[in-house]
Amino acid sequence: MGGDNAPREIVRGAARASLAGGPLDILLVGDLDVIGGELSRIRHDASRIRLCHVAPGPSTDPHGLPSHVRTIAELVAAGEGDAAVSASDKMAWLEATARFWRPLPGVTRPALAAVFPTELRRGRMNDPFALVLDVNARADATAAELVQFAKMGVVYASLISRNEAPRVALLAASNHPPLGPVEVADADVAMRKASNINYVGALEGTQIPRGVADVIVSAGHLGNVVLSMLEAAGETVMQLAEYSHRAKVTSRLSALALTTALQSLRPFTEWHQYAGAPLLGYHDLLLRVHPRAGANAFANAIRVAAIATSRGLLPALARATGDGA
Amino acid sequence: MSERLRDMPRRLTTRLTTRLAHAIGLVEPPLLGASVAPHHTFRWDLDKTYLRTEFDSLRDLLKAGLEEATDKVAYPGAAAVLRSLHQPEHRICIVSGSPTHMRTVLAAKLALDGVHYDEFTLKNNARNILRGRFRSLRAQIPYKLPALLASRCAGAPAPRESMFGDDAEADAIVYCLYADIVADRITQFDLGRVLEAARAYPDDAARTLELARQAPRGGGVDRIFIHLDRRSPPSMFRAFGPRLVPVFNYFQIALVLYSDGVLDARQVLFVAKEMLDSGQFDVPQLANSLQDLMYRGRVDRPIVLRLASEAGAAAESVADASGNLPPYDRIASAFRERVDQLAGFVAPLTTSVPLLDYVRLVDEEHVHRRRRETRV
Repeated sequence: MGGDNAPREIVRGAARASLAGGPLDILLVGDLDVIGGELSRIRHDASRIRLCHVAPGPSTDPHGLPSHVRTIAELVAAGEGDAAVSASDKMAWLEATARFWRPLPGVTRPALAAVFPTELRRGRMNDPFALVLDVNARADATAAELVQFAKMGVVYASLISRNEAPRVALLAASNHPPLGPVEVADADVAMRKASNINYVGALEGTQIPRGVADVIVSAGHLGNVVLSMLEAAGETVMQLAEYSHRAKVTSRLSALALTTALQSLRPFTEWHQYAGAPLLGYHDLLLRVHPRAGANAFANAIRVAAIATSRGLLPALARATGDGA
Repeated sequence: MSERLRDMPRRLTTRLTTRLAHAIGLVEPPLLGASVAPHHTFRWDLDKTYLRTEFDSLRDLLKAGLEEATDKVAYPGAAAVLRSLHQPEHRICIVSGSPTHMRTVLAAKLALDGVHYDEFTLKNNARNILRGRFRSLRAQIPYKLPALLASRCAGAPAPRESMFGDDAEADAIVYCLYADIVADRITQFDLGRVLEAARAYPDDAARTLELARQAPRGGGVDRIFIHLDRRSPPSMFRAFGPRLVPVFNYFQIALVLYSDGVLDARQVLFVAKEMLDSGQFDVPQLANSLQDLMYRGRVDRPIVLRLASEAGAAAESVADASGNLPPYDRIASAFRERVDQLAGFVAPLTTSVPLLDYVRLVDEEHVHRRRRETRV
């Protein structure tokens, strides 16, 4: 299960997804005493939901992997599922996928992605989210790996957002010339030469929300820091707006006038409620949902996983990475 | 002039009037009960139980009223279940809230589906309108309960009964009430209170009370299936006790009937085949449906494994080049997998049939219905 709102919001998200119709088979893994009780109280289509009981209690895994994470990873690896959707701990998932999943040809490091809402929308789906990868705080990346991240990000963006030529940028301390480690400079050169990447150049962190790029490539630690700051900034904006509401009468009146506008910002400041982010680089797909996510986010992530599968994401990724990074 | 010629205008008028009365559903065919007691009676609702019907809006009502038999759509597997129930010593009785003037088209649809029935009762809304009984047009309990009781009173009753309804209106309440009357668990006084809560007209209430008094006791209602057309949460029906089984589809009904010994494995697998052939279900969905029933404690693990074993044996013994047989081997394999994934876990299920507060249930149903009508 995993996440702050497990299992209630996960089960509710799965129930919602089951009612949406379409070819879908959702496997819920965890303590059925809890899952089943929650499921029986809400509307759902039982023919689209499968249950796998994992007894609660301390993990029996020698490396301490939570039982349900290990079970899901093993089931997906065995072909019992095309994708995993989870709000469980990121590090647990990185460990589980490294142990049980096969990397795509040519992939030396999988990329943990995140989505971030931007001013400009993209693709035929009018998608408000840009893809940022890699945001795995644990590791840096070589220039070749950064280019591989770009290729995988392009495949993901083109299939999910129906964006035919996603704009790719490299996250750097400065964009002219791209400032950062030598790997960034080398990746910049390589991407300019790559014929299958619509490379728009280096990008500073402040430019991400503007939407000038659809796929933003970064080494893990930098991507993680930038995303965390953007997330915190969004929350701070909303908190400051609500704080001003408690101040002087004139401020309160102004805030009231802005209420509608502020409410319309919520999808962007609470974006973690509305989307899941992929781990790319394996023969199987993981969509990670924010630990604080609600049922809507889980339902959306299940929908995205189903779309990704039906549009052949994994074979397309294998072709992109198999070309040679 | 001969007597016959003088009487012709009267006979012609009577004949035309009778034909017109039948055509608009003012006159219903008489109820002919079974002359010999059947072993098992199956009582079916039609709309939202057997037929996929929408009648939440006026437009939907009009559409349903104007459809031809070939336009009407049965839920996948429903016809196969009904055909399987057509056996010697079984009796199939349909009580539907559809108006009597739709008898011809509904009978044609059932004939198209190869469904046999012994009784077919529809709601005489023409008479309700003529009598100014507009409340009766939508009321379900004051119509269905006396219809069920009248059917039981006519002819020799079966020792076993199973009932089939849906979650759109009050089928769960009506069927449980009927079952408790037949089991002598409800007094005339309490029944009177329920009919008052259901806003039955006084003469209809009196007639229902008399039918309840006359209805033969003994035997009982084994099963009440409620098809979750609106996908109501199963926990909503927990209060009705273990004899009531909320089901998501007809494969689940077939499985419970198999568990009860009413259907055999071959019949269950042909229900599965009809559902697969409809294109609306695949083998994983059927297997998930089975697992859901197991988890809810509605079918036991030994029963499921026996069915999987019989499906596996059928796969080995029959070679099917024509594709006319169910995919036995895939079904057997998927069933076993689902059993394993439950790891023996089953939700607790009460075994006793509770005494229900029907007045409260009827009041709650009225509130739910008003909320739904407001939303629509």
